[in-house]
Amino acid sequence: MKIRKLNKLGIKEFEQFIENLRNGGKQNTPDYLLTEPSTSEVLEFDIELEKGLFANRYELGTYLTEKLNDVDIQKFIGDSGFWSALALYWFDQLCPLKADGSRKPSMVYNYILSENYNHRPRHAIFTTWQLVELYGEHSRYLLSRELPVRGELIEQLMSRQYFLSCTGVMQAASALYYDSERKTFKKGAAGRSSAGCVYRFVNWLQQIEINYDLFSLSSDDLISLMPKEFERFKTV
Amino acid sequence: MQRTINHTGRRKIEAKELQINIQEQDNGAPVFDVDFSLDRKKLPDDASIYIEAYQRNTLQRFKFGTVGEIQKPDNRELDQLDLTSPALFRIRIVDETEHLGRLIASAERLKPEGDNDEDQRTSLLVVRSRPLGQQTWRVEFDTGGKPELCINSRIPDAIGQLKNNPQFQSLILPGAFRQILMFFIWNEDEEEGGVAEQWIAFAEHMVGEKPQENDPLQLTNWIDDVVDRFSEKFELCDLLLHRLEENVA
Repeated sequence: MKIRKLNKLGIKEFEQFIENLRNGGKQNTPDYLLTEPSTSEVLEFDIELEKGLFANRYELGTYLTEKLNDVDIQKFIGDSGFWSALALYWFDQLCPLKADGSRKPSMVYNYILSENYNHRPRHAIFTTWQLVELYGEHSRYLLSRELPVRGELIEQLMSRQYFLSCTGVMQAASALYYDSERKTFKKGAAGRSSAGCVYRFVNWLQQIEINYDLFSLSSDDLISLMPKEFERFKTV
Repeated sequence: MQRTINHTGRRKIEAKELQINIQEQDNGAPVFDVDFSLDRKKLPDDASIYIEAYQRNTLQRFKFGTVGEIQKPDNRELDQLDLTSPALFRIRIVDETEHLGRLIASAERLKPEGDNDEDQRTSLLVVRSRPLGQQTWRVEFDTGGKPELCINSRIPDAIGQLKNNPQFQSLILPGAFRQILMFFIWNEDEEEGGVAEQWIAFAEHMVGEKPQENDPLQLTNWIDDVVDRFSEKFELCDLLLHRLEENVA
């Protein structure tokens, strides 16, 4: 399907649809919003997408980065109509039907790119694309869950978005926590108090950023600075 | 309460060592510029200078060469920041030769020039009009200085309303005062003569000394007393009632 972006009316109707589902309503996904001229408009570039069936967010992110590879995407970074259209396009995978025919979407800003910068990183498609675009393979440990699930690790890292901008930090976290055999994060990484878990990693980064410029540190620099509690993840 | 330990003896850059200016553009994002007058003592010539512009969760980082050879980047557009509140800046001077990534000197929460208007300079609280969606007001603390009471810019003459309209004053100020005291008490800032100290002194002037213990109940009761005394002093409920009666009449 050739993707168009939602206009104001399209975004509003998409939002009403999500709110209706959140309030217990049952309704078919309004795919027509993506094609109707009154609710959508053409993009400056052509992009043909397929619904596909993605096992996890990483697969979706990889697919999208490939599709957007030749596009000057910078001007669309904050474009709610564009990213919300993509969330609508894949809505049935982001929020699948339950056995009883109901659906339970999460907050609206998970599907409609918010003007509020605090909520932007919670957009299911934008953040997925951005992490794969920036960190490729090194984002796997964050995006290994199925599409409806954002995942505990990304939730913990998003509390300090500064860290998500530091390449060395993201690569070090990937080296520590990605389990290539299970194709997801290592057991124990998502804990809250166990030694070396992501929560502790974030705490440790907060301590060392007092004395180090995290942007300047490579993954190897960071790993060499890590205290002993992280050993169990280095060696597994 | 977070305590910070300076293991590496990094130097704090004083605000007077750099001047940041922002120029609005007719078309496009604002552009910033920095004039440096760094005290180069203890700063190696080959240390790299980074300027980070930030606001809430958005950040842009720019390399400005080295201490010995400052080079402004060509592109200094702030096109990826949330500019619904004014941008703040930080400077980081980083060792990239010997101890890679070590911070040699830094400064946080730097404000661009011209962001302090004369009226607000002597006040403990800055009042601004800002886009706030459906929120009518909120207090901003990450301002690089005094807390800012922001009134939704969709409200006509938002700042004037707060200054002159008893309805606004009586409904907003006690809540804002409470938030500010809570913030400064629970985010302990030990800077002598700093903003936190001034606010606590202002409150103590009204009801007496803040409890020394960190008992949340005692502290909350003390804040309640302060807000109560403040409301009493300015007769906020009476003011509101009079205005409502006037409106009915």
